[in-house]
Amino acid sequence: MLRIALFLILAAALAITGCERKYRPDPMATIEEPEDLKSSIAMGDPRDASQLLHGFYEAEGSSWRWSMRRFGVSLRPPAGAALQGASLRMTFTIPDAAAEPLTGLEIRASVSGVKLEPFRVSGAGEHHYQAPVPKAALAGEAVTVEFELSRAIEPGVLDGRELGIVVSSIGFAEP
Amino acid sequence: MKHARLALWWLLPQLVLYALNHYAFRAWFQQDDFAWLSQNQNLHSLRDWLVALFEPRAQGTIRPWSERLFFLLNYRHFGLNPVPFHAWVAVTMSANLALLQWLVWRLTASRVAALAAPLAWLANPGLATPLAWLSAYNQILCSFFILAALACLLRALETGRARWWWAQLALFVLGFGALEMNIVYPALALAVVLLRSPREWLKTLPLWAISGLYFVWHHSVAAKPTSGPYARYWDLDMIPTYGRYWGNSLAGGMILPHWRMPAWSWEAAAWTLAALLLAFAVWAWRRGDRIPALGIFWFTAAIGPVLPLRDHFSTYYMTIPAIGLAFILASLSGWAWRHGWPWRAAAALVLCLHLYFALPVQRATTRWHFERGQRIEALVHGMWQAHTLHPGKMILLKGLDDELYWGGFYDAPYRALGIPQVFILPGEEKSLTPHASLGEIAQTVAPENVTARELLWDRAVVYEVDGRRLRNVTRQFTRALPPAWLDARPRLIDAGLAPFQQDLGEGWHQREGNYRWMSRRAEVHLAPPNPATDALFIAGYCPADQAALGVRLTLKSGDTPLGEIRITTANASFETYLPIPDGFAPDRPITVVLEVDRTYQEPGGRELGLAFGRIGWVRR
Repeated sequence: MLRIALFLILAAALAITGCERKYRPDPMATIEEPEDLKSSIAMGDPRDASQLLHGFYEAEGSSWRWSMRRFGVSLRPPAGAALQGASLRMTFTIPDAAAEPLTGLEIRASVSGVKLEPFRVSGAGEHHYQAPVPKAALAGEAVTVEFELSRAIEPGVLDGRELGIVVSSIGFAEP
Repeated sequence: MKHARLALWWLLPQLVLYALNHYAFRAWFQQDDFAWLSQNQNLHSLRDWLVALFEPRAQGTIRPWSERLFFLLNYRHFGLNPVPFHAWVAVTMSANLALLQWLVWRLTASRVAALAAPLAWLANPGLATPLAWLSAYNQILCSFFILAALACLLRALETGRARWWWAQLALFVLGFGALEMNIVYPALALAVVLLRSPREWLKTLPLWAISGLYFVWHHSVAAKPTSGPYARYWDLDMIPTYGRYWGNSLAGGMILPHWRMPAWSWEAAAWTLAALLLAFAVWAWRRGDRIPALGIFWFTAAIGPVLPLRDHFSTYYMTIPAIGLAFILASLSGWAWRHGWPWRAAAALVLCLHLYFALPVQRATTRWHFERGQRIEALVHGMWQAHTLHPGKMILLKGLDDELYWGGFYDAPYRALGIPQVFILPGEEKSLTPHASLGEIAQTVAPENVTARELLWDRAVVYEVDGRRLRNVTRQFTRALPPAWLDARPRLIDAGLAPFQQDLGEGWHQREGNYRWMSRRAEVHLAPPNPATDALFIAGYCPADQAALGVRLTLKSGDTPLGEIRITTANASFETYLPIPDGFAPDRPITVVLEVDRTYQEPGGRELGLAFGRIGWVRR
């Protein structure tokens, strides 16, 4: 009797604590629209790489890329932007090692040639760039967004490349 | 040769089980299954497990083995794969058939009767849903506990060994963890004891005491609705309900469309069968055969607890009572077999009449579950794939019909997959048939302003049901968005979801998980209600410490009081409908103000009133 009880307790413990099964959705379960430009892109997403126009190095750590001093992307303005404009947002990091050479960094951006308010960066860590974009700059199916840094890390300081900031994502959002 | 015949005798019901139910055992998850599958989301400690297993749920049910553990363990190990779930059902049912076969053999001493009993039970339309729909496994498991306990009781009577009696008692007590219907076991046990060893009837008294205690305890924790499908009516309406269950058991309860027979023909068949079987039972009683009477008693005792549920007639309630009908048909078969070919032919005619009406309904029901399950599987995989391709975005669906909506969407299968925001598009509810007994459609419809905002800012995707797949129609739908949607106010908001942020006024804290705390006073902006049909619905939560002290929540719009709720430990997690006051008929959007008389000061400095999910107008 005791053996049966012990067996049942052991079986119950194994059943409850056993590892959870991982499973995946069926890729054929949806029919997707033809690929379109995205209004927000992630640096680590290989599907978004075609929207990087210039000024980026290879993706690192699967979620970020070093930029150069000048870099640009192509984005699709969200449908709502035609009604009320949008907010351009960029999430980026200044690593501790780059904080000193980038002291007093200022980021200037333009959308379809329309210049946005400059953004001043202070210190190392994660930062969220945000600037309002007038709706006049957001016409059409795609716009070019250009960024320029007031300074960059010269080749040979950290490695052999010209380095700007560590970018995670760039996109339009509701203002 | 003798061994081969015996093996075939045991195997035949098992083979028929799998032959008849190959659709049932492949049916996908549906309806309540998804609520049970979602249980896994919040299990982090031993206490969570104990609460998940034993806390009373809807209608006061506590079924740890047949619902909670069954879904928890299988989902934990096998995910959204119904095969292992059905394997449990099939194995339990196999055991049930063997137990019934053995019981009838011991009671009648007839191999023919013992073979007929499980076959007759399998043909019953009441078994179709429990074998196909996993949420009704409770019927199958409860049958197992009852049949196994009776088998032990019979062994105890035959051998006089106490261990069989104790085994019976243990199985009987465990049966309460499968289904409340187990409460009728003492009546069935008494009937068997009176049949085999009448002098030992006193031995059933402890069983009655246990059922009595369970009744008192269950009565104290179970909800007692006075309206709706689960309201109980202890009146003469129970008689037609009793007749309806007999009719459905005997002759299926319907005429399938392709039969081309008059709608009343199944009723005629049911009356004929009832008259013949009753006459047989009376005749058998007179010559000392009590088995048909036991069958009638069994059916009556087992269906008794659900007879007051006048407005919730469900064929799966016939699962356990149908064993009684199987006793009668088995006894008829056994007797006819012993009395030559004319009687055999007569009994075969009765059985054929029963099978002609009942069996196709059983088959059609399992097939319907299977086919509906296939559509639901496609929908759930579509939502899952959409979430994978567009993580973080709201998923909006169009093109769901009644079957898909009520069978595979309303019970929120997406929650089991951790997808937080799935709604049907505004206006889609017009093509759905409301079912008050199943739920409120409004809470699954995305408000117009939220839909417009989320689509315009690429935070939502729209999918349309396209056969067995979901088609992404986001761009096409966004281009045709009605401009007025942007300025609309929602009828119902969910404070715990980010898209409703703009419909909240002052007094709210940041969203946490799927809820949001108010401070002492908070505002919600809503569309005007329809005073003729709407009620104000509020779903929220009050921490136990606060609820113990009592919190009064008042709601008003401008100077008009909309209602007041007293929250205590009895309703700490509350979902309340407040009727709209007479004369309150605004014609433009309004602001509802919620205010509590007691708040809690968090160490961090926040003043917390109550936590809320959904607030807004729903149709009563």
